[in-house]
Formats: sequence, structure tokens, C-alpha cells
Amino acid sequence: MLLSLNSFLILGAVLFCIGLFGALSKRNAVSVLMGIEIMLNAVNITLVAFASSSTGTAHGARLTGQIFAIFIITVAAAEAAVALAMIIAIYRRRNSVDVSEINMMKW
Amino acid sequence: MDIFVRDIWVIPLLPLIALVLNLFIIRPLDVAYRDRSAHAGAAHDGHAEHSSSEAHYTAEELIESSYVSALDTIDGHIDTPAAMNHALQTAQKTSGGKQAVALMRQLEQHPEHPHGKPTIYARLAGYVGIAGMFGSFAWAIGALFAMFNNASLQKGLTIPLYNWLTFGSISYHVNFYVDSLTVVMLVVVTAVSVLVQFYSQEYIESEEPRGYSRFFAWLSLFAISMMILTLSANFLMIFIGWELVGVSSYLLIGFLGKDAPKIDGGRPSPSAAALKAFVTNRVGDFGFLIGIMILFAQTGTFTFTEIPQKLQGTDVTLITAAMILVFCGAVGKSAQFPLHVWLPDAMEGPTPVSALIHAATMVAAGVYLVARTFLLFHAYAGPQASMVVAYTGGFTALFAALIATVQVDLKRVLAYSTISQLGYMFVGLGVAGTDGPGMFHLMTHAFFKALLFLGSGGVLHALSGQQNMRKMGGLATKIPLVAFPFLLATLSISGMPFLSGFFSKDEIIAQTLANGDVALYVITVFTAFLTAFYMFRAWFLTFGGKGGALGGLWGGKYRGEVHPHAPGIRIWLPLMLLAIPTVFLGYWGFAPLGGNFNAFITGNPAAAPFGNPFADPMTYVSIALAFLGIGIAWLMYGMEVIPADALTRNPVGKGLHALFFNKFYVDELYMALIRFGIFLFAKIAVSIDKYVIDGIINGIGSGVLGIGRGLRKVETGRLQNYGAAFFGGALIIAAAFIAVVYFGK
Repeated sequence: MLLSLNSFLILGAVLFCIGLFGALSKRNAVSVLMGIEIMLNAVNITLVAFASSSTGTAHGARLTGQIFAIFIITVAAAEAAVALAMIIAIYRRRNSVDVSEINMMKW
Repeated sequence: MDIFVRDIWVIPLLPLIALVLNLFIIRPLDVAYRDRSAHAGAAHDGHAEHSSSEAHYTAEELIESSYVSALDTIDGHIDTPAAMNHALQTAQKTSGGKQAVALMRQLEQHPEHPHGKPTIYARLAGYVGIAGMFGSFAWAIGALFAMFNNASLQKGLTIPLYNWLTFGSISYHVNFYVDSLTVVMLVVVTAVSVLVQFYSQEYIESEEPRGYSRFFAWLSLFAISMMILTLSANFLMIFIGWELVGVSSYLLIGFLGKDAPKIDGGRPSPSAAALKAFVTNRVGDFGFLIGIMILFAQTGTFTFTEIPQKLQGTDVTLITAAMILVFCGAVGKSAQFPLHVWLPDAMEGPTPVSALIHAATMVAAGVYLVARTFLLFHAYAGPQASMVVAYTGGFTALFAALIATVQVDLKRVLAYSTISQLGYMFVGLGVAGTDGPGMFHLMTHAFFKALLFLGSGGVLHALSGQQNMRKMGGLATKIPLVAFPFLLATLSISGMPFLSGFFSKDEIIAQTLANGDVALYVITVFTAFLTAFYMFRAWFLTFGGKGGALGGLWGGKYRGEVHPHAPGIRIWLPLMLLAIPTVFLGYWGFAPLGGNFNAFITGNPAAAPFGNPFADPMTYVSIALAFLGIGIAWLMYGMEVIPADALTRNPVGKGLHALFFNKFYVDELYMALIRFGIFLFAKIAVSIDKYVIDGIINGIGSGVLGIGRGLRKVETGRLQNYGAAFFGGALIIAAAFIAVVYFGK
């Protein structure tokens, strides 16, 4: 069975939804972070799928999406570091990583 | 000689110079000098000896701060003029009469009385004002004689001053126009003004010396306004002069301010009277302005000399309407029914002002306006326009004369007499073929009515402001120098043969009959009878009475409390001078002696002179009626053979007396209209404002606030909620996009 482009896209979409759900519904900040990571990887799958199915003839046409994905992995690593640092900072201050208790982003 | 006519602008310029000098140089000096001398005087009087804190205030400062506070500081003791004034007002309100008089006397004799002598600068203001006015008067006389010399000047001459504005093809010019009408008017205005100013020196000195310099400034301003009105060559300028006259009359009527102490209570305050005059005039001016606009829309010009030829072919109905609207302005200014209500109240101004405004100048403005646009009224508008003029005049003449027969205030009798005589002028302008009869009466009336007013001022001066004729009587022997010219003027206005009032009034009465208007003839003749009656009633009540010489004609029993003091030369000299035209001016219109006023005023040497009154049998009817009126007044108030209440014993007479005495309840009617009409409208407007407008404004406010309160809950501060909203929003947009892409085709 040849996997069509749509299969990858559906996988990406499903993964994105799972990630989104996790990011929006979990109370633990680490779980939220994990949800975000899943969403990023869902996007990566989509990008790579588009890149490999591309029929473009221009120089580097098929590579653009893959390079994009590598960039996202890099940025996601940095982001995970920052987010974990924030979570640790919040934990030190509040003794909790429950995001439902963090409601400082008002006004 | 022609230079007097060509450089006619000198006439308003001279009082203008006087005004500027008085207002900007002499008046400030007067005030500064007065304050300094007041402080010096206060220190000299040893105010510092008082131990209490109020010792720091001079009497003048107390007056100027307020009566009430003055009363508070002195703790009820009547020992400063301020407190006395206050007590005086209270006495008028509560008891009136003798107590008020006694207090008034006490007040005047108090050493700290603010009504001291005017300063040297104040006197200088008077001299400057009089000098300016006298120069104008001399120039006006020069212009009059220039016109006698050179008859071609009577036809009219436009003196361009400058071009005010130009819009496309229309230019607004500030021009003067001089013809015989203008010159006659200017002579009247300047002659009366100069005499009034001369007279005011003594009158204002005793009435309100603090305002001495201000008074002369306003008198000059008033004269200038009237001159501008008289000299204007177009409707635009006449309207400017018209409004200036309104403003200066406001300033002069309200001159004594709202707290002017009065010896007899129950009269409106000068401030209220001034406001009433101004507002009532606005009503008429509204019509005037619309009339001017209609004429301008039809002709594209304001100039009097151009309007007639450009009106060719215009709808007559429209011109008639325009002229009736223009006449509305005249009705307001000349105090004709139904806008006459301001004039009697305007008597609250100082008496020289009454003489100036209500005899010679301001009220004459309306008559002058109709005379100036006489051609439009008679040759271009339909006959209805002049009918309106004549019948308004006739009705007002009768109406005011009826009221005048029962008034007890000397100045009010004269005020209603003025309204009545102005009615005669409008009858003259409405029925006659030229503006001659109306203007002739205006001219003679100006002099004898100015004399009557200044004479009444002499009486008031002698009696410290008493105006009630019941408190007078027999004054002829006490102040003969006032009484004698006053008697001449009374005879003149009553229509005694050979006096000027007779010639002018009789010409108007003759014109009504010549015009075939029997109703107006009856009205005017009957009014002439009433005039003779009420004027002699006033004469007998004031100067005569039972026990006087010649059956009560000269002197008699004096009923007042105040000791009359004789006026000085500055009061009686103007009266004597005014007596000259009062007696002789009428001969200008007396054909057998060669007088042809009609030819002069129309600028047409071929114009027929006024009819010889002695050749007309109908004249003897009016003479007989005048004698009858005088006779009845003599019997009732001179010899007192018939009791004064003979006619008012029966209910009909009583009712009529109440009706006349209360001026036909016109003031009350207007007040009721204002209360129930305007106030009702105001209340509706208020509720609209309160509920509709405020409702919308407050609704918007509280609505926004409520929505905000609701939306505030959305902002939880939790990142996950925001994220949900963000993605939910993105989902909705995506759904919408898909829907458009798939179903929009």
C-alpha cells in the first residue's frame, strides 16, 4: 500500500489535535509543554510530507520543507529549554506547576 | 454753503470724537480721581477711630459691595448711606409713603451720601459731550440752510464713504444719503440732543453723580447711532444704526441700575425695563430683517435709490408682504400696538433719556424708516401696505390715548401720549400722498414732547423723584420757569390753534378725510379730544388745582410731602429754548404765510403745500373738541366742579377705568402667553432633553459599561483559555473559509 500525501496530512492533523488538546486541557505545566511539542512535530510531519511529495523542478524545491522541519526541531529544543526554565521558576515561587492556578495574564 | 451737505459726515463724527474722549480718557480719569478723593476723605473723617473691623471700609465701598452685607456689618444701625438705602427699600416695600420720603431726605443730607458732587473730570465729560453735539447741531443747521439756498440738493445726494465687501457682482457699500428728509431729521435729533445734554448736567448731578461721565458718553453714543440710521443710504446701514439705537437705548434706560432707590414703590426696576425695551424691539426687528431680505432677494441691492427701479415687474403681493414686514420693525421701534409695551416701562430711565429716546429720536426712527421707504409703500406695494400702516397708527393712537386718560404717573401719561402721537404720524404716512404730514408731525412733536419730558424732569427734580401726580398739584407757582414752557407744550399737543402741534396734527386729520377714510377721521379726531383731556388733566394735577389762579389753571393746593426746590438755569433754559419751536415751528407748514414744508421734504417745488387749516370747516370741529377736552379736564381737575370719580361710580365706568388703568391688560396677556406658552414649550423641551437626549447619551455610556463588565469575565488570565479562544477563532475562520470556498460558488 503506497502511502499517499493525504495519509501524512491526516496523521499530522490528528497529531496536531492531540497536541492541542493536551496543551489546552492538561493542568500540569510539563504536560502542556509536551502537548506543544506534539503540535510542533505534527507540523513537522506535514512539512516533510509536502516536501517529499513536491514535484517542483527548481533548485532545492524539495528541500525547503525539510530544512524548515530541521529549523523547527532546533527552535523547539530552545523553546523546551526556556519553557522548562520557566516551569522551574514558577515551581520555586509557587510550589506548584498547575497551570489553572497561574492566572497572571490579565489585562 | 453746499459743503455742509457734501461733508455731512462731520455730523456723526463730532459726537464720535466726544464719545471716544469721554469713554477712553475722561471717564477713567473721573473714576480714578473719584476713588482717590473718596479714600482721602475717608481717612480725613477719622474712620480709624472706630474700633470694629468695618471701619476699614468707606461708605462708597459698602455701597458697591452690597446693601445687605452693609447692613450686616453695621449691625442694624442706620448710620451709613448704604444702610439707609436698604432701609429705604424695605420701607417702600412695607409701608411706602411717608416713611420712605423721610428716609430719602435723611439719606440725602447724610455727610457720607454717595450722591456727592461729580468730579471735575465728570464735568469735563459733560462739556465735551455738549460741545460735540453742539458742533453737530450747528452743522445740521448749516445743511438745512444749504438746502434752502440750493433747492437741487433737496432731491438727494449719495456720499460714498467706502466699499465694505464685494461678493461677485454684489457690493456692500457704506454710503451716506442726504436729502431734505435726512436733514430735517438730523436737525431734530441734534437740536433735541444738545438741549438734553445741557439739561442733563444738572439733572444727573442730583440723580446719579457717580455715573455722570458715563451718562454723557452714552448720550453721545445714542446720538451717533441715530445719525447713522438717519444718514444711511441703504437697508444694511440703516439696520446697523437701528441696532445701535437699540443698544444705546438699553444702556440709557437701564442707567440707574436694578437697585435704583425710588420714592414711590410699585414700579419696574430700570434694568428690567431696559431688557424689556431691548427684547420687545427684537421681535419687531425680526420682521424688519425678513422684509429687508425679501427686498434684497428680489433686487440684489440694499440701496434705497436703486430698489424701486429694480423692483419693476416683481409680484406686488410679495412687495406688499415685504413692506409690511419692514413696517414690523417700525412698529417695534416706534412703540406701536402690539409692541408698545416697552415704552411706558422705559420711563424708568433718567428723565433726560426719556426726553431723548421717547420724544425725539429712537421712537422717531420707525417713522423715519417708513418715510424713507415711502415710495415703496405707496407706489410699489399694494394698497394693503399703507392701510396696515395707517390703521396700526390709528388704532394705537386711540388705544394709548385711552390709557393715558387714567394714569397717575406723570411720566407714564407722557409715555402713552408719545405712543398716541406716533400713531398719528403713522396715520399721516399711511393716508397722505407724501411723507410731508407725517414728518411734519414728527418734527413738531419731537420739540414739544421733548419739552414736556424735560419739564416733567424739572418737576421730578423739584420733588426728589416723585412721579405720582396725586402727590403734586399747584406747582405752577412754585416752579414757574418749568411750568410756563410746560403749559405751552401742553397747549401745543392739545391742538390749540396757532401753536405748532395744531398745524401738524390738523394736517393729518385733514388728510384722513381727504383720503375718504371716515373711520380714521373719527378715530383721529376723537383721539385729539382725548389728548386735550389727558394732557390738561396732567397739567391740572401737576401744576394747577383747586384754589389756583384762573380757576385752578396756575397754582393751587400742593398734595405732596416733599418741599419743592426750584431748578437751576441748566434745567429751565433748555425748556425755554424748546418752547420756541413748540410755538413757531408749525408756521413752516402754514401756506398763507408762505410755508411749504411739503415741497421741502419731497424735494419737489411744485408739491402742493398743506391746506390752510382755517379755511377748512372741519378744522373747527377738532378745535371745538380740543376745547371741550380742556374744558372737561378744567371742570374735573382744575375747578373740581365735577368730582374726578363722577364717571367711575357706575359699574361700567368702573370696569372701563380698571381696563384703561391696567393698560388693557396687555402686559398681563404677554406674561400669560410667556408663562403658559413659552414656559410650556420650555418644559417640553426640558423633558425631551432630560429623557430623550440624556437617555441616549446615558444609554450609550451605561451600555458600553455593561458590555465591558460582561466581557471582562472572558479575560481569565489563564493561558489555556486564551489558547482555546485563539484556536477556536482560527477554527471558525477556517470553517467560514471552507464554507465560502465550497458553497459560495
